[in-house]
Amino acid sequence: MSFASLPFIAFVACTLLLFNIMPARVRWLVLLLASYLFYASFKVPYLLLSLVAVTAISYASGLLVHRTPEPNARLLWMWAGVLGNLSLLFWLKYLPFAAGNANVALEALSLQFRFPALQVLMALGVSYYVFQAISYIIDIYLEVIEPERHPGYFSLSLGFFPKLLQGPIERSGNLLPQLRELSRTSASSLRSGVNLFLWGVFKKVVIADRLATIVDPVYGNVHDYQGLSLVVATYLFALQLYFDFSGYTDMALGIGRLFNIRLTPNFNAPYLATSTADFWRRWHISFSSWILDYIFKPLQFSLRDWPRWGVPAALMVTFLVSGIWHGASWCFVAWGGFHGFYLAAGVLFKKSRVKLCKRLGIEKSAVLRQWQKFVTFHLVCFSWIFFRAASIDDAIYVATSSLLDLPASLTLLAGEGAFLEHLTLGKPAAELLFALALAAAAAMLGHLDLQSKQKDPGLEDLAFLHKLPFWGSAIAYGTIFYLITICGLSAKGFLYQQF
Amino acid sequence: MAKPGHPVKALPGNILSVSVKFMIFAALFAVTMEICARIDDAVRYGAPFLGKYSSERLRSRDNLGSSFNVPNARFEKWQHNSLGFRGPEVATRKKPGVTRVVCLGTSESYGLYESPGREWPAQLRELLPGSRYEVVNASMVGLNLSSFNTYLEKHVFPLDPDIVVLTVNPLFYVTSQNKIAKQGVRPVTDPAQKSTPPPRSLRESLVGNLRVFPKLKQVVKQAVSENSPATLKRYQISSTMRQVQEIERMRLQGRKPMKAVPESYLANFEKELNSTIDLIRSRNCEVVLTSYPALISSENLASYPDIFLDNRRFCIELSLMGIIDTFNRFNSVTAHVSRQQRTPFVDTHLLLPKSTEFFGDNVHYTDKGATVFAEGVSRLLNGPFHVARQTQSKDRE
Repeated sequence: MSFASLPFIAFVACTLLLFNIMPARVRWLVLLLASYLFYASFKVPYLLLSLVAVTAISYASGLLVHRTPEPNARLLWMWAGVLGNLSLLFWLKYLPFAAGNANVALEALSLQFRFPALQVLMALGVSYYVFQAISYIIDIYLEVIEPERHPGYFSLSLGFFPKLLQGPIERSGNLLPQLRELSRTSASSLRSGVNLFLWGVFKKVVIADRLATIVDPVYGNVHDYQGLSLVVATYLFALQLYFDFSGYTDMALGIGRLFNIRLTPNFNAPYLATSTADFWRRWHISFSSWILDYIFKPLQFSLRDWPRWGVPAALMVTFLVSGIWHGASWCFVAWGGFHGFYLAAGVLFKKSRVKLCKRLGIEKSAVLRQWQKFVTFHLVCFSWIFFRAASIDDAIYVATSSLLDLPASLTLLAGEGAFLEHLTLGKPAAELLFALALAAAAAMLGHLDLQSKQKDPGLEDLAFLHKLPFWGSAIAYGTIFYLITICGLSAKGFLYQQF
Repeated sequence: MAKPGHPVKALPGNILSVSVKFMIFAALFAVTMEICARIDDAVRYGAPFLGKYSSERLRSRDNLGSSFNVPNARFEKWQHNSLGFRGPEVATRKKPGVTRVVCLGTSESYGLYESPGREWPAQLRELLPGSRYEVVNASMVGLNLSSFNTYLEKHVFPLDPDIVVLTVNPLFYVTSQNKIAKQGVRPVTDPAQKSTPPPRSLRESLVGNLRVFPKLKQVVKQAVSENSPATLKRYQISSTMRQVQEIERMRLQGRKPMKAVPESYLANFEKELNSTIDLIRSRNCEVVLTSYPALISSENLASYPDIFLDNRRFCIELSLMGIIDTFNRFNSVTAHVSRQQRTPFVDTHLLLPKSTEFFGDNVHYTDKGATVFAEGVSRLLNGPFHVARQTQSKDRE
């Protein structure tokens, strides 16, 4: 069941109806059953089993860590819970990748033994709830939170269907208190939820899926393209990925709001970041804060004896883990490695950069900020090549051709005089312009919304829709509904769902 | 919460105000959707913002009542050139050394389900070498064999074609023959277009003029077909069945639909087809005949009940078996005429696999179906026919 589909909308409507007619004490049960039903709808039996297993391991581990007074035993229970969850994740997601690479290593060492070839399993959403479960156990160990004793609330906190497949990766401290006090849907939360959901669907089916029809043929067969075409496809992919993932997040937040649950926002204008560190404060926020708290900080602490190289090394390791979290492929490892490198280099050269800016007298210049945004965006786009490409070979080809063949393809285009046709990668120019115009409008409205929320944190999300007068709302909803139903493409799977 | 002393007085007013507000909201919402649909049509297809926008823009009738494709007309994906044909512009004077091939048929050749530029004459244009052949799609929706000669004189012969590829719709012919049998008059144009439509109700004309309505209908249909194809099929069958029964009641007036096509119709068809071939040949032009492909045969009748039932709406005089009989026997007559007249014949009915991968409905093709059709004709034109023509021209020299 895709979020942007009629069966899912009908499913949410039914759940919402049941949620509101049931007494408060069983509302959690409605949501839990709906969540398990939703997960079961993918017809992969071991997925539901893995969710139940992660829930059981984490619930028991949390209680045991809390009840055990002896420090070493607490540590043991904590590690038992963490490793139990990680082994499940490894089995579902990384075993074929690990076996394949081990075989390559064995062959290189001229050893006869080989691991059997394993089938890649569908691990829909597993990485997300495993990470949430790990943070829950560690937080109890660190005494940040108390364990949840009600198995129903705890199960729901891991399996709540809007965030099950693609996050946000919730912290138990945020979600569990809300689950204990589930109240009926108010008119304002209904409106807010519907607004967010519609806005998310709009971003996904009208913008992201339209861009996908242009990007996919190029990245599906990169060797047929070169230079400018690959650069354009990479820029468009950057937009597609943002609208796809942020569209999903808006939908998840919207559905959560319908049940009076506020999930963690995941985006904050990421392509306006002035550095890669800033980018990670704005992109997939729930994930980046997770790796910061549970991987980077402990590593940084362990490497505190290396004054110059400790932080860069911790960053490098953290982002390599981030890469492998995204998928069992060397492309994701490379992608994570690039980000680790950007951040490590940023730390290593920070002092000299600050000095240089001071010497030039531009440390507070607006031009410098724009330049930083420009450079950061391009560094991120470069890393997206490895994120999107089907193989390392493809990614290297795209990266080299984008850099080396660009001047030649620009000269060729100028000579041919068919600039627009080449820029649109063989698709009708109107289609691309339409997608870009909508993307620009959505990005601008989203940015204005963020700015107004920064000024007044009490404002509802998508305040521009909330503030409209009665007649304006009708026009806005009519327009959005038209764009979604008539101009929207049949929804493809979400990009971040595969992680 | 109602104040003490005013317990219920405010309630009816409140309900009224909410209802009025809701209705205004719904009306504004609907108007916005309609405006969006009109802007969308204007941007995408150059459609007028105001006024009616339907496929009727594509065709018109001359003073004598004969239908023709309106030059430069456009409706959604269908677009005409300055001569009223689908495809690129055609110069009236041929290029020397280029053989002009004119494809003449009805909606199956004009194109219905195919993506723009994928109708079979367009694909034939791609398959044949452009240096030697120029393909013109002169087909018109609803064109009947009885109107071919008039249409050829007016719209095809001015192009001075070298080859005319004829694809004749048997169902239209049967319908026109029925009309002649019933009224004793020869229809000037195709019967489907000549009949005056009954006056529409206010609701019908309102819905008919809304642009957003058919778009939404299409979206819902697609969504249901993706999520529950069986439900959609059941609904389509029952809805088409109701329509067919209604048309039967109005048109047949108690008579039973024919189970087989009358011999006299076949004889007339043969005569008219011969006359059309003679007319074309009289203009120093070669004729290529094709059979008329249909999806359904007596073997796969049970697989596509919805499609077959839908086809009956266009030829209510024939029963299900009558339609199958019509396709088989008219195709036999066409093959017979081609042998008699020694005109090349492409058995496209035989070539097209009988599956919905190749057919959008019983008689219209998908992109793939159109490819098979075009390849069949192209093989003939590029192969034995080309050799024969070259030999003839050498003999003449």
